[in-house]
Amino acid sequence: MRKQCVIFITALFLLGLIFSPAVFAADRKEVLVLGMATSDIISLDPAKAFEFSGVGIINQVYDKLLDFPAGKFDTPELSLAESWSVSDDGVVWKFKLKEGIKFHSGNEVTAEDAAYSFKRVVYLKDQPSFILTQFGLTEDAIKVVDKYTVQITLDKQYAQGIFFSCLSAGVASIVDSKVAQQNEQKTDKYPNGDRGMTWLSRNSAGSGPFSLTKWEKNDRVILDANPKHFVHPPKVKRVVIKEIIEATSRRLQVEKGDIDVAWEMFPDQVKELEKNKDIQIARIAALQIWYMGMNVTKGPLADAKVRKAIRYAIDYDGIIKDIMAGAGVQTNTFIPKGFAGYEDKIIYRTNLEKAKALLKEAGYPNGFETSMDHGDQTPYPEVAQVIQNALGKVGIKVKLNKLISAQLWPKYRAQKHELILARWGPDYMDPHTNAQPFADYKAKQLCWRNAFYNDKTSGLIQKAGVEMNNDKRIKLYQDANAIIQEEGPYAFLFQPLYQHAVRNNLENFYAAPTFGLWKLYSVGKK
Amino acid sequence: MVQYLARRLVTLTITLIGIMVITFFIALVVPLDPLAAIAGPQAPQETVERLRKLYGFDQPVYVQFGRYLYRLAHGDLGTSFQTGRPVLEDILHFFPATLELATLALAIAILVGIPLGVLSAVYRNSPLDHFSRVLSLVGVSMPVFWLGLVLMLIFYFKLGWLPEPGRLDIMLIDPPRVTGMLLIDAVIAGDGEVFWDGIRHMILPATVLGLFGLAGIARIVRSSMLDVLSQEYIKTARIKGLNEFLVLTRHALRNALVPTVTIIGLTYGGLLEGSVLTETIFSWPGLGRYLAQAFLTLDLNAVVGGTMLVALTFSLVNLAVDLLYAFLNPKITYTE
Repeated sequence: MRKQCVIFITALFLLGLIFSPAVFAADRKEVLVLGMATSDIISLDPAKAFEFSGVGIINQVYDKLLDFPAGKFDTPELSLAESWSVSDDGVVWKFKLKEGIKFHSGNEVTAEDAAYSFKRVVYLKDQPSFILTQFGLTEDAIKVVDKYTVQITLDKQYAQGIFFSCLSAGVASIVDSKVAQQNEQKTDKYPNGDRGMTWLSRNSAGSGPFSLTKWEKNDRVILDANPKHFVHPPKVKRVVIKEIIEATSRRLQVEKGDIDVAWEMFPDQVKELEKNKDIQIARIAALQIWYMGMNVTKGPLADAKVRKAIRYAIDYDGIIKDIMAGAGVQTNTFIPKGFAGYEDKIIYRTNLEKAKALLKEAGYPNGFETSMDHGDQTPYPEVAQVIQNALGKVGIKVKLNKLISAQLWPKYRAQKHELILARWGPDYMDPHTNAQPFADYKAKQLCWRNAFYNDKTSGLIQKAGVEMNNDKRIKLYQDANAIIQEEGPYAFLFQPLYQHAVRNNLENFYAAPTFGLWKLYSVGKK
Repeated sequence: MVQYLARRLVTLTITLIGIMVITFFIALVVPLDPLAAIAGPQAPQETVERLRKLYGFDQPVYVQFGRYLYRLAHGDLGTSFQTGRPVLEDILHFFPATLELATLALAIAILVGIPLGVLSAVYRNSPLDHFSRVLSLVGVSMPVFWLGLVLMLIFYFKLGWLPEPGRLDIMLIDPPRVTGMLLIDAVIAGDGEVFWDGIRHMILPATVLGLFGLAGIARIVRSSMLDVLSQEYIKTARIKGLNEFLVLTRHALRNALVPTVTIIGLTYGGLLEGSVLTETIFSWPGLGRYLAQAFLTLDLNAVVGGTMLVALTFSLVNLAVDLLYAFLNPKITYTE
């Protein structure tokens, strides 16, 4: 009897192995499956999320007053807002909302919700809040004029382009105030109430093309379509974003057809995937800039000629071709390709003779010793080694310090580095998000960290911040960039490419240059 | 016996408190800034300082420790930065996935390792013994990362015998969460499809982990068996004409198991910490990756809570091993 039992159980087990559950296959056409590394997500509350994947997901779930449509990345368009007006002094902005738009809960989107959403960002003061509070926003400055009109008063005039880009960022998502209030709780951090933050970290209260069904950290995110969306009802019923950290595993799964999109493939994988006729590669230059920062208070680095010599000594082709396997473009501007004002002009090509001559002029004919801090994740160490090797050729001996981020960024913020290898990505979709940190030391960001206290570039950026004419504003950034390239504290290296492997049965999949512009409602499956 | 158990539990509590204190202070005195991880590289300095205040890192260490102790006394391990959830809830969420995988891996290691060890001892220096040696060597020395990818390439990608990495097919819906262990929850929900799919998804990661455990078990069983087989009482049993199978299992193996149980306990303790690499390759949402992320981002509450859990499971497994000795060898008793 016992023997028969064992045989029976073994047979059942084997049957289970042989027959996979095919019964769900019919629905698979309506489900879009993406494989990507999503372990950076901390919260899916728009007032808190500031990580790549988190912002990307919020984009699918919430609408904003203004937004960038799928595949369009230049200027934001009206979304929940129907129209806007501004006072003559450029300080008081009014936005009129479209009528009849519903949240996923069925509640109507009103000015109350818009005001509540902005006020909670100001009140919660979490990481991305500066995107709104940089305009001097306080809770009192946000008012409901009537059911469909919200008024925002800024502390002074700002360029419209910057303000609108910030209003289309994830942090400016419009949250269903009734649902958020129902789920408010008192926490250690917010003893007077968290305005729904704890609940919204893993639930949603939006009106966007998708609603958040589930987020299990290190496992998957499930989004279900909102077929009643006022302008972009999704083409698929469900999106599953599966956490697959390992790029090789993502590649195998997209080739097998278990996932529809494999996010961010490495260059060598792309070469192999290009041979697969069921797969195409969606490419776009990421809005990221890889650069080397030079602390101008540290010895020879104080001399602009030395910094220029370093820029001439770097082996840009070696970095892009050998380390990035071609998945990057050299850049000599802090405005990345994809933003207005980008200049496709290379100033620094490797020229060791020129570098040596500049070092000689600066009084360092035999070079000097310095150190470079860099992150521990690929390709930071590899890029650092190429730079070390290149600088060695002109006599600059570089000691490399590989640090984890909890060591690296505090050191950078405290201006304790000599050279540092880093990258910068935009916080919102306007060149100002790069120009300010790179060229205005008063913003206490990159320019300040590298101790480049240049009032001229700072003045240009501050002027641009309030310039209402967009063309003039862009010109100011370009003028600042010219100074930064000539004497600034950076060597700009490259802008990387995003390369996603997409199965051929997908339609209208647009690679976005940043997670903040990522839209899935357009994607359909044949 | 009861007295022994009580004494062990008191020691365990003291150990846990010691580990908590040490971990807390190590995490605070290392020259790293947890705010750098929370705020990210781009946040302006003001944001960093505002967050420092919000998270209470602006307070002196003794105040932070006092607060932690107060919360701990109320059963609160604090909130994790990386999930925004109470650490206890996180641990209860991630640990079952690891427990399930570790248990299956250990089962594979025992079911293959013990017979292999016994047979290697009985057929010493035979091809089987050499095979066992090579398998153990592979299990111990092959990098898990490499082995996992190779097995995935063969059994998932090329042959298609086993499903894609992950815990469950993307089209299947998780059964209602009761224990957090997928297979058990599927049985409770009476969902056969999820159960079988769950098993199929576990085979590769459990094999990779099991192979690692198997190596140690097979080697220790072999050497203990060789030792036992040369004893007088085995010869006596054989002379009495006892069936060789009974000699090996009832007389030899039972005695050889005492040292083996120690290795099994240590292996299980190690598996229960979660394996970062296996979990990474096989997209397994377990404790290993949660803890690794916690350490890398200096998620203080998760680091201290997780370390205490690991210490607790290790101590409990060891306690179970010690109690098993008495069962395996009645000569061992626990008295004051």
